Amino acid sequence: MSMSTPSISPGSKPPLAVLTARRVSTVIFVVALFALWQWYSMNMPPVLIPSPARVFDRFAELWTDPRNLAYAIDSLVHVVVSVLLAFVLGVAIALLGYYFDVLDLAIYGRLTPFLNSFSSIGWAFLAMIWFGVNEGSVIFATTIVLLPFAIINAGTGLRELDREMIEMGRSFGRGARRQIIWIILPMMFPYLFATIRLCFGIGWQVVLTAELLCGSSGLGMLINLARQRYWTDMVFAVAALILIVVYLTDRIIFAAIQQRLRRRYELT
Amino acid sequence: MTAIIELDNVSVAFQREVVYDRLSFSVNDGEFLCIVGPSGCGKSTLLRVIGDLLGVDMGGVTVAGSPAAKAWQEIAYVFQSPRLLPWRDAEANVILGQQLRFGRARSMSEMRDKARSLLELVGLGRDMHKYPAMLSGGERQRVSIARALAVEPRIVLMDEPFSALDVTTRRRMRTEIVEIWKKTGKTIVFVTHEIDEALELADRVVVLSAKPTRVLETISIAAARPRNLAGPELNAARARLSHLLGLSGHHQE
Amino acid sequence: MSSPSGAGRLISQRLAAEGLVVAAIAAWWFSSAQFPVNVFPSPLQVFWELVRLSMDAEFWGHAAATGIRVLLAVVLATVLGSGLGMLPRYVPWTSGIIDDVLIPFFTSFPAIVWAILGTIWFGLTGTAILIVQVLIIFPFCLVNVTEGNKDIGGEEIEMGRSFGRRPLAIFWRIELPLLAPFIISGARISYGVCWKISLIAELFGGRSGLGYMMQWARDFGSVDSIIAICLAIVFFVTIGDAFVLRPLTRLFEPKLEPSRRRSFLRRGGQGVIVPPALEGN
Repeated sequence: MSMSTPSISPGSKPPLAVLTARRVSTVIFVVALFALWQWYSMNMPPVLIPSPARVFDRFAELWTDPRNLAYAIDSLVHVVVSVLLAFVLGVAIALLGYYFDVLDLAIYGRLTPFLNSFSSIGWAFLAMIWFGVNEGSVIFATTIVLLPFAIINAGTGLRELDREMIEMGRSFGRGARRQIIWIILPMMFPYLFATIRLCFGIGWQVVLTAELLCGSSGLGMLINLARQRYWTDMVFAVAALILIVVYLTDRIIFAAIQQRLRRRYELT
Repeated sequence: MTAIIELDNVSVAFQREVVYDRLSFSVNDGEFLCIVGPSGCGKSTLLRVIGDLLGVDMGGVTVAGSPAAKAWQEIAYVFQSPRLLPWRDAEANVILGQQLRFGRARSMSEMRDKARSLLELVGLGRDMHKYPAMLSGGERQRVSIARALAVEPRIVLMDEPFSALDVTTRRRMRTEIVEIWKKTGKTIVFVTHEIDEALELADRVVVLSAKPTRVLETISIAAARPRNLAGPELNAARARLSHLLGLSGHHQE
Repeated sequence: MSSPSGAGRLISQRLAAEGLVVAAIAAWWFSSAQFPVNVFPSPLQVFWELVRLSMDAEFWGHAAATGIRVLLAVVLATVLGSGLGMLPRYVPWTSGIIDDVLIPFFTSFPAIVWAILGTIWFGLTGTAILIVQVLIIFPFCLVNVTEGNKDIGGEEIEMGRSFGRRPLAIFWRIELPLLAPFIISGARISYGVCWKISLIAELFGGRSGLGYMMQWARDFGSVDSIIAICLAIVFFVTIGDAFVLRPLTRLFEPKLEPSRRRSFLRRGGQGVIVPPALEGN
């Protein structure tokens, strides 16, 4: 798990960068952790600490057993749908606050703090009671938990917009729709992207909780099943899967896109 | 000469600060008008009032025969900083102004042709697909001039467009803007804080006082272009302008 | 772009904000009438449930249990997160471990898995819940302090070193105050998250706490209790944030010159000051 961070720009790579002290110590640390895990698991019952080999077997099972794979895909769908919903709603609400100054306090002083401090477990329970045990509940609970993050991020993006550019846009045309399409949204793009990145990271956490509590299909349900049957190795395997998915999408896909965006949007 | 812009007893105040107290002047159709005044007297604000980016508290602004709020289509801006979108190349930035103004009413190919011919006009025929980050300060400002001309305004408002450029570029841009003005026949309202710039460019120079701002005097300069800034007529005008601006400075203290 | 005067703007914003609250409650009231009580109770029922809870000693016991655990967890997580975040300053080779292993691991590790592992490893005890909560929230502080560590100026520390080489003095007088805003903001985030998410730990591993109570309410299908407990949590979060964390944030805020607001009108005009004579007009 010692990937090189994409934040290192390709130009500044010193020769033999692979062997810097920093990297060596990181690799040693990871290897030592696995060794410790292996040694400790030999002295403990597998219900408490399953050995790395057992977890690996379970991990492989996640991919080979079509039912397990379906759970993983279900969770991914839940995350993507909720993130998109929260994103669209959040941007719409932030834009509303931007165009109607009166709503500023209502949005950032009432709505967001309320949503932000409302317990996510509460939402999951309520969703289950209101909509029953199904995917809709999971998506509702996740969306509403992600919503304040989306509003705050999009709102910050709007507040940081270059006022001079907006004025330039107004001097050429007065249509609000054209302003949004040609100037405001493109200028907000880096912020919007950061919002999606953040929501995606939190989304996994919330989706698992919601799936577990609402009992709908997905990795959360698999974890619950594993918990009730004391399949600790399965709990580990699901955790590993999520770690890998989140880490890879964030550090490789999102970070790379963000890097490109930053380069493109910087006028120097 | 017909007036294309008329300001009639315009007053503007921000909270407790009075910017204009019954300001009146007019701009003739097709003329090159410069506005000079002490720093902070609200020269840029004046352009915003004309372009309806800022409302007035009292008085009337008439542009091309209608109230300013209805006439913004007649006007295009060149700002002090070029205000180009960094993710669009030169051509796409010129197209942007047209997209914002005309929407779908003008086809993409038409907008592109317009952008190309105007970039040729401002001397960027070879740099159409460069991004703002790859252009020099002068080139960026040329793009923003092309962007303004592309929407075919009758009036171009320029807010100290050359003040951020180095001396050599600034001198060259002045010559070029006069050429462009002659070729296109637009009315240009040009805000500057440099007396020599006004002397070189303007048909008429409107001199503003410090706040609360009013018109101190309007000076006509009839000398043929290209102008010799050391000639007797311009020397006399320079002396008058310096006197007016210096005097208004004394009033403050 | 002429904006209305400051006072009028504030009043209309206030009206809109309170209007939203009233409208939300009205909408709740109206829509709750369409559903049975055990699905969607009305605001009034939830209010009476809140009143009942507030006079219920059991509720306060659970609230206290959760509150104390949240407080302890935030303190422990802040200390742990700051300590680890500052480590690379003194032991440079650890920076790779923290940046590339610990931060990605702890920020993406599912909270729910910690909760389950907590019950498996430590049983159904208060300590287990506390440990799980710390594991869930400490990455927020770790990320913040690590960022701060990269952000704070080498200049000030160099200045400190030019005066004296006692590391402890430099730490207390320069580094810690510079990092304080990052630490506090990390604590602030963890506090909110702890109330919101880490109640999960109490669902599985608790015999006490609001999470346990909520689970209980769910099993009995009393929706009004669930909503009332959630509102109580909103209240506790808000109180703690407003009376402890926000003052702390302000106390440790870097004292910089007030950022000059961008304004179309002032740009270019170098410090225009209105002569006093004009103000009377």
